[in-house]
Amino acid sequence: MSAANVYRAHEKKFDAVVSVVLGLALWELIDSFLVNNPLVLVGPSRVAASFLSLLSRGVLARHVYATFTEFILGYLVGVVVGFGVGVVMALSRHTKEVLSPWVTIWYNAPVILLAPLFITALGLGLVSKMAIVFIAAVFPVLFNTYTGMSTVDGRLIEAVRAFGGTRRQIFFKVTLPGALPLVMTGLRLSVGRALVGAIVSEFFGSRAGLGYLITAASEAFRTAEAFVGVVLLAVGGYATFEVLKYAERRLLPGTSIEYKGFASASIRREEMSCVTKPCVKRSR
Amino acid sequence: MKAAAEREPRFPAWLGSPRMIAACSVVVGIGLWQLGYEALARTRYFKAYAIHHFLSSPLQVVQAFGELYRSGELLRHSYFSFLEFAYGFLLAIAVGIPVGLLMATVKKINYYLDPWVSCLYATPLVALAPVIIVWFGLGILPNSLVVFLGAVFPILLNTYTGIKSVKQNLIEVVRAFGGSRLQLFFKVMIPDATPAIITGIRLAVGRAVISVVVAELFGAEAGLGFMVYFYSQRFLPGPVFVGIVVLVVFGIVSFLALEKVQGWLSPWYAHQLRRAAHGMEVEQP
Amino acid sequence: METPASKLVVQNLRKSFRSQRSEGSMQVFEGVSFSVQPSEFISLVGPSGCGKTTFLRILDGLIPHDDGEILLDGKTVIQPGPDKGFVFQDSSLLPWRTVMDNIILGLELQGVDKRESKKKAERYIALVGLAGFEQHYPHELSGGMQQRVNLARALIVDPQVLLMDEPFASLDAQTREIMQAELLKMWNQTKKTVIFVTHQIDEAIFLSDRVVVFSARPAKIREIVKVGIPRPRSLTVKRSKEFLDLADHVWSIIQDEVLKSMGREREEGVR
Repeated sequence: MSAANVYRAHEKKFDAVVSVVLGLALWELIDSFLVNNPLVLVGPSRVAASFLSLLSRGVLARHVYATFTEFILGYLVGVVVGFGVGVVMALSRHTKEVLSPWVTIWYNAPVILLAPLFITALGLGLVSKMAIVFIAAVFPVLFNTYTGMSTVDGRLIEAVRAFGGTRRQIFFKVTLPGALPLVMTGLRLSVGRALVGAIVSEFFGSRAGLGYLITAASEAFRTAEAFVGVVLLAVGGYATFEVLKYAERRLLPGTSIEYKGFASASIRREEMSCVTKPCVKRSR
Repeated sequence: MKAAAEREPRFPAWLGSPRMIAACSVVVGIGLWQLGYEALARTRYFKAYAIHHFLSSPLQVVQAFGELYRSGELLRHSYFSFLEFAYGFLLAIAVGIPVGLLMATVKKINYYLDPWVSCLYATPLVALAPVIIVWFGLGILPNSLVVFLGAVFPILLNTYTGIKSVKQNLIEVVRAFGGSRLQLFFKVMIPDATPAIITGIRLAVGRAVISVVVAELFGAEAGLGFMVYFYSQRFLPGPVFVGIVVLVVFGIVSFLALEKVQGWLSPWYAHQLRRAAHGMEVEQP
Repeated sequence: METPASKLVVQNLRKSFRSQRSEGSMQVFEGVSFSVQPSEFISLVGPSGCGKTTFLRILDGLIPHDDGEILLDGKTVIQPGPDKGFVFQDSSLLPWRTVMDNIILGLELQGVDKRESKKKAERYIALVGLAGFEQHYPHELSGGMQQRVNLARALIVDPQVLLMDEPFASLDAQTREIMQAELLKMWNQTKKTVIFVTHQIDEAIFLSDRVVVFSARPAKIREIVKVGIPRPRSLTVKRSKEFLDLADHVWSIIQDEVLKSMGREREEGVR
């Protein structure tokens, strides 16, 4: 193949690399020639140097570890509880009716505002942060699990009942697998909220963590260090997204999840509604 | 069967309606909170753990609300937060929709911007708040910038996806009648993508509210985030809950308002839309 | 070769798609030639997946072809335009537009004055039997009514030829029969040249002057069956001996082709 053909076949990847390289180079040039003031702007090289210095001093590992533990523990508890309550709400109409106003309220609440209260109650350490991450993560999972289960195509349920399926069989063979795409969506949505919860609760008061690193560094005008924190968060968020996307592909082959050319942002259109629930046409 | 259909219900129907149960649930929940607090206040743990430093009863929250309202503090803080929200959010709409449209229609622009957009979308951008405050100082504008960063990507991405998933057969119709590319864009792509764009705006509201609060944590002399932080540092939980309640109400009201706008702009869309039982939709990442 | 009076002439048309997986290409059809007289009703039938729909899209200029020529009134077809009316298979109505606004879409795209086109639309709305539904949205209509709108939208631009791509495929059997009869009535009134793609043999025979039977992929014309049943035809014609014999004949050709293509698919599957 000629060079032009190779380019055409990989145009997208090639352009992405060019774009990133150009962007970083521009950023670096502006930093070193136009601004040249580490208080105001830090180029990629300064961020990299700062990263290495933090890494070699062992400071970085401590902060990453702190944030990661808060995030993963709170997130996992949130997923388990959210999924469980979502299932109960989908199965029991009364539970659903009683809980739904509270779910609506908490789902829309900026729960991170509770962070200072949690810190007062539970201290500056891991537990208060975990609690915030938990509250941030639990509602998207809960809500999507509930929605997924209660919108499974009735015809599928009828089909299993027609073959004499028990309630238990209907649950495990139809409702649960049918809800899985939305459950996965909930898991993905929770990642973003949970990360924000971890970082912001560290902003409110902490002794370690990437949020702590970012506030401490920017208050001391060590902008490069703050950027190291932000970049690491970006990498962490991106990686978690990719893991979930991979899991989704493995768990849900053939489900119409459209990634539409974006590396990390997966967007499912609301049209999906017609897949799980038949659109009824009104005829006159 | 016949007997069941004709039997008089024992209660009037409205008593058992979901809306009634929801209202009761809220009232009972708040009542339990109040009773629980009173009970806790009588135990020795209350003093030992200084529970009043981080927990309020509903009555105390109402009282705090009254005080903050009467002193004019609440209105002032809400006003500042709202300004920051409005500036940042409008800017996010003004930037997000055109850039999303450009990315969806010009392949090269998509290829070049995609790595940046994907990466920034996955980053919890509120983490930039302290840095931005250091750069731009205190005030409404840097805080609006934080709001902008929080809100712009959901809008941009939903616009992009909305245009990208315009149904092929509708595009073909316009082509078959000899329509130009410009006509295709304005007569099919924009109307078809409108619901998706508004969904993006709805998603952005939640992120923007959080961004306002976080930005005010660092760089503000007013605003609801500032108010919450200020009182929490003085171990007064009442105003913290007031702040949360105000923001919850704002979040829900704007969500419902945008739903109305969506129904008004795209009435045809409503019938396609699956709704969850309590009037919210599944959030789209 | 053709008489100058022919409305539409297709000569030696060839089309292949580049295959996604392998380096090679997939031949859709080759050497397709036929001509259509003015006001003639022609149906295209053939085994599923033989490329009938692709063929129709090429006639409209929506998809480019590799080789051969299409002449409409002696002029080469290069791109879609108002000289051809296309009736799509599924409801391809713009959901945000009323029946009226959907019907005038074609005129609007040509830059025709809005008031003028609305006046013109009234006639076509009456023709397809939708009077009173002007301000309804597509989702408020039944499938059959949506296809009526679809038809009116194609007719209003006053095309030289009407290209119809399985327009009744998604309708239920009863509605389909009614729509067939109505289509004949409208055709009688407008005297358009129609090319009609369908997979229903009885539909093709009932509607057409001639039925073009395609072979399996790569598609060629197997036979052009002339339908001698006198017009006007009513639905009872479908039970006449003449009709059933024709249907039998067309079906035997297609069955033959389907079996052939199934054999080939099995081979490909083994590979």
